[in-house]
Amino acid sequence: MKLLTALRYLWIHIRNDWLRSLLSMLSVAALVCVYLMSSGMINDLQRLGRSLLRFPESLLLVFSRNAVFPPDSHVDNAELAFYKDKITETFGDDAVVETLSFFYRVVRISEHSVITAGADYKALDKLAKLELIEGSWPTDFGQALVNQDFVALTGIGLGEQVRIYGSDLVISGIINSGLWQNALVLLNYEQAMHIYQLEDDFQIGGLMLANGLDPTRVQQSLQGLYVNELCCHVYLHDHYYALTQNAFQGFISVYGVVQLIGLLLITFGAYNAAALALAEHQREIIMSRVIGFSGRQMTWLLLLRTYLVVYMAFFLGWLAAAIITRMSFYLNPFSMSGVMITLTFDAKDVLAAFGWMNLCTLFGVLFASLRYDPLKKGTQLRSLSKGRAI
Amino acid sequence: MTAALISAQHISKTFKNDGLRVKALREVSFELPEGACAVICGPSGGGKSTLLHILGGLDRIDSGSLSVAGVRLDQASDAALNQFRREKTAFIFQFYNLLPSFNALDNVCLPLLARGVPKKQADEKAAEALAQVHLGQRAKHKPSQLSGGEQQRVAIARALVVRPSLILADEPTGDLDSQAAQEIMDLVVSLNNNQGVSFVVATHNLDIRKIATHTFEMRDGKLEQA
Repeated sequence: MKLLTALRYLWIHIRNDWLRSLLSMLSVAALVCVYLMSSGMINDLQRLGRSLLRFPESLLLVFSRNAVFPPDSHVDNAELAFYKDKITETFGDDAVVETLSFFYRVVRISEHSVITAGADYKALDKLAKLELIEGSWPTDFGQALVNQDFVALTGIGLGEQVRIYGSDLVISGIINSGLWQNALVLLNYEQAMHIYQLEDDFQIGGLMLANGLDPTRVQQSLQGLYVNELCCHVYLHDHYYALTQNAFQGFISVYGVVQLIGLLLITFGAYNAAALALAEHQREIIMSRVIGFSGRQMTWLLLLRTYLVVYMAFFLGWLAAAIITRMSFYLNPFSMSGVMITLTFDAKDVLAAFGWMNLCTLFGVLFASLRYDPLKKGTQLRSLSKGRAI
Repeated sequence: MTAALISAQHISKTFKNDGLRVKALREVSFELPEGACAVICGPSGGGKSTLLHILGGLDRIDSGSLSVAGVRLDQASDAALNQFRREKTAFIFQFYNLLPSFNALDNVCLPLLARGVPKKQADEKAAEALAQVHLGQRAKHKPSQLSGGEQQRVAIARALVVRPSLILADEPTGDLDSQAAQEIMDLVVSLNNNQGVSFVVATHNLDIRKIATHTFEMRDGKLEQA
């Protein structure tokens, strides 16, 4: 039997048995949808851990010893200056080309959590190019910059107002920077100190090293320092990523379990689609064997039928996951620490689910077929002589 | 002298039914020539269906020797039995056993498709077979849209389309009214007389004896020539 002819017959069969086929399809589709959405959640959490801030490699970071998230850290200029001096003592006066006091808070604006950062614009521009996409640079303490993610998340754009810690700020410009992957309101350092009524209190200190200086060597040279009154440590940029990623590892593990359950359920879904087709169409299978189809042909037809059902289910689940994630973000945009939770799954997740489902279907059908040979079951055969066809 | 289509020597078959061992066939011996139309009568549970399943290669015997259309079924492998079923025999059942999803033409096509015949060719042969049973106009109807007699004629077309040496019919008129039953009997006679198709028919219907070239009585697993 040629493939196209078989597909035509199977399609008629599935269409004729649409209710049972639809139920099989919906159960697999729901599992695919759960799997893809949990994959999207893991992606968001990984993004959250990875990209709160994206510092250049040549920047040494100074922040509180036990802080996990930047807002928990407290650094002052005396500590930053202490480390700068230690570096220049060992590596020369030109070893540190820039210092950065980086103020950092997570705030709620229009029901969304976004980042408020305060830093010297010029120093920041040296670390990560600040590109003004729209509007102009702020000219006074009543203005602020935001990035595109902020506009997308909150819907607040150029010329509109945001209230931060009791101060109303007009958005004068929209920027783009590789430093952030989250929704951001960027203030000048002095402006941030003024708004938050602080003095010399920031979360992350940055020491930008001269070109050619090995950041690891410099950082290791500072490891031996033990100064009791200092509460900070100096970290390489990737230490910071490791710390933040660790903070989200628990969440990632939980969603990893959900994702794994999704995959396992896809296994059962694919097997059930095959087993159900076998169980519900026993009489037709026996009759097909009687009129000349071999066991191998029947297994091939069952495999093809199950693949048709699970492929349709897969695309249905994929479509449902895509629509649900898009709609939920459109209707109720949600963010954590300024990172938009979009539940976006990528090609890797789709391919993993598709590959796994193919494998499970193959083994499910073979396993179900091995356990079932109608011509070896006399009672089933004898049923052909009794009762009407289903 | 006509060659033997079926040669059965002391065949026995026992199976388990709800934990009980049932002797379905006891030392059954008989011979049938090609072109025969044999009718096996007898009460329910006498072993008629089991004998038909065994003659059609759907089930195996426990002991004895059995040759059908030149194939030793008692010695055949699973693959050989499968080939035998494809090439030598076809079945007709009391309840037609058409596949409900497909129309009459598709149902009749299926045995050909199982044998690797291309769909277009299979369609042509199936249409011919349906015309033979006077159902050419009902080819696109599904089983649920056909009467019992029409469904049985589709089942006969499905059996005929592969041009088997032997058609095994298990109570072919059991679910039909007298007029439809008569039409089926006429069809069997016509195919037997005009095309030389051999039939073994298991039935309660004593009227079918009228069309038989050989008549047997089956009771408690034993077969006797009537």
